[in-house]
Amino acid sequence: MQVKKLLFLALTPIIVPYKAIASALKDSVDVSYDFYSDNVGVTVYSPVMGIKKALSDKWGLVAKLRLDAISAASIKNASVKFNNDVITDAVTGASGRAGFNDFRVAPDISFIYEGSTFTTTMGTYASNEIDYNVIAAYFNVDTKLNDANTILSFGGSYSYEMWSPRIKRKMLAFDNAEKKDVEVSDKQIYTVSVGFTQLLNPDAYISGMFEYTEQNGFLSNPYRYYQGTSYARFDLYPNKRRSYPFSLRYVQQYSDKFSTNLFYRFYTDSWALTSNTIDGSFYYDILDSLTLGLKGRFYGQSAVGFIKTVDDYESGNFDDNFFVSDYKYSALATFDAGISMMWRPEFFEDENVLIKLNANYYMTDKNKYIYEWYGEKSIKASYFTTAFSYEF
Amino acid sequence: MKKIFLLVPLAFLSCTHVSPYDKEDLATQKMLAKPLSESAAFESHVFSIREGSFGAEGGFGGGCGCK
Amino acid sequence: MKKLLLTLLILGFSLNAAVVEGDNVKPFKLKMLNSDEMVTNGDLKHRVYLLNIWAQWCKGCKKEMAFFDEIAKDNSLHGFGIVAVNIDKKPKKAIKFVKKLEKKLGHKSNIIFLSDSKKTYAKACEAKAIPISFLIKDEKVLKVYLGSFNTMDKEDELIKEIKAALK
Repeated sequence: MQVKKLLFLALTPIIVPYKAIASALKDSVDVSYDFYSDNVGVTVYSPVMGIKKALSDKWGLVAKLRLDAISAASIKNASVKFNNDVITDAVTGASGRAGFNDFRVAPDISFIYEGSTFTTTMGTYASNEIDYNVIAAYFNVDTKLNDANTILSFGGSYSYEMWSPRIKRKMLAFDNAEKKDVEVSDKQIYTVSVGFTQLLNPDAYISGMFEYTEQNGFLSNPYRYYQGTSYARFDLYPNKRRSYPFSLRYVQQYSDKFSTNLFYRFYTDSWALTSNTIDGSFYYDILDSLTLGLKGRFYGQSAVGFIKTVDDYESGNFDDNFFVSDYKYSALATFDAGISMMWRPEFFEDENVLIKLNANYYMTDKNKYIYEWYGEKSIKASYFTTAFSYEF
Repeated sequence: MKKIFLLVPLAFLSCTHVSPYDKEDLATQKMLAKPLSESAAFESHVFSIREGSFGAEGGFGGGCGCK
Repeated sequence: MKKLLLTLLILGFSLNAAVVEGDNVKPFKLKMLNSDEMVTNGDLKHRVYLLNIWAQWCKGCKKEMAFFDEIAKDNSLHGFGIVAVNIDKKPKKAIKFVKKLEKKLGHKSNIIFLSDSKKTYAKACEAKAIPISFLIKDEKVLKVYLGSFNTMDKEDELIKEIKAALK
């Protein structure tokens, strides 16, 4: 495939109802650094800086800034025939992997109010990069019941996201109500979530969450197109998507040294995509101050209802408004394994420094859509996180 | 669906009670829902890019673009 | 359905009978945190004292210790003392914390640190929060403080109440 520009679609910032036990109001400086690299030419360097500051005994402020330096094989010049017009890719002088192709800046500021029986978080979030901008607001309320043995959470968010792709093109989505393609380059995302955390005994608790998301607007990727021998087409998706994921988490300590954290999620949406996620982590204290972790994750999804087979797309043997070249909407399975370390060095006074290291390996199963686009049978990635936190 | 979710914790109310002084183990780093919160945030970002579904992870997705 | 939920709620809230203002202090016989010496409430020479229950894993508990030390050695509060009962399973970390605190203060702490590693005393009091503090005069609980003294206002109020009790 000519175009190797892979686009990472935005997700609304969502809230954290699992922060059940500890108080959020403490002063700290947090610095972390993420690194991602895969076999399809994407490398991401991503430092995050954050501060938490108690403003009074009830109010707290959290400010975070994430920078992403993204390096990838960039768009090659290409002409795409689209609705009988030939559109030329506007990006010239493809830079390959020499230097960064894109830089993302994402600030996030939130306020926390801690009442005696409830905690409220309100925040705003923005993300800015050369061809994609996001602005969002979110809130969350945690209510403590029964001596904080039960926490009920309620949250919501709104996000406005705008594309300005580097290639000149008419961006279309299919409007199901009007039964026709509509021109649209932005999207709006609404999220509502309810959740609970329940302590079961001094060594275990369970958490659950249901989240409803509605996305409206241009929901595909403006760079994704298929170029066959006789035609080329941009991806075209519906302009509305409703998602219904719910999850359960079970955390248990078996001895002072050993604990497990199990997570399951079921997801279904209005595009007929369903998925199951199972995630298990094991933690073991090899020292009072040092915990090692092992993690495994399996993810499996069905395809969206409006996708056709690669063979159908190749032969042009389909009669549909929709067109999907993006593998992430095909039937897919992925695997992830990781090791981690959490260290609270004892030589720091008050043990107020926490250092975390994490290394993961991620892979998809073999997928024809991946092969069509990237020329690889599957995607294989490694990613690492280093985090440092200092509490005052 | 939502109703069921609200009922689950209520059903536990009468039969369990962990007193504040018994929360020593629950207060440790490895008993948090996301002990590796920074990496969990990045991970959920990667998964939302690489996979077709998202949400209900109680984490932070956060806008994005990466080419 | 509503009735059922209400019943469940009420059951959930009514399991405990905590120490309240006006109660007699729950008698204790606890080990000193850093020695094997046993201390009972009868051994205390102070007419008025603050009985605090704390843990090393609780940040708010550790933060208020410097303030406790300050009022425990305050000459204008003659006759007042502080007893801090630690409930860590393994008192090792709590002992380390106290040592660090004393290093920071530059003197041996004036707080009487006791250890309740089996949490039997915390259970007997049905401590509604960690930290929890009881202001005690003549073996009667004058006041219960849930949570830590994390603001100047709360600190000032405590000092005022100690002074009133000492009169």
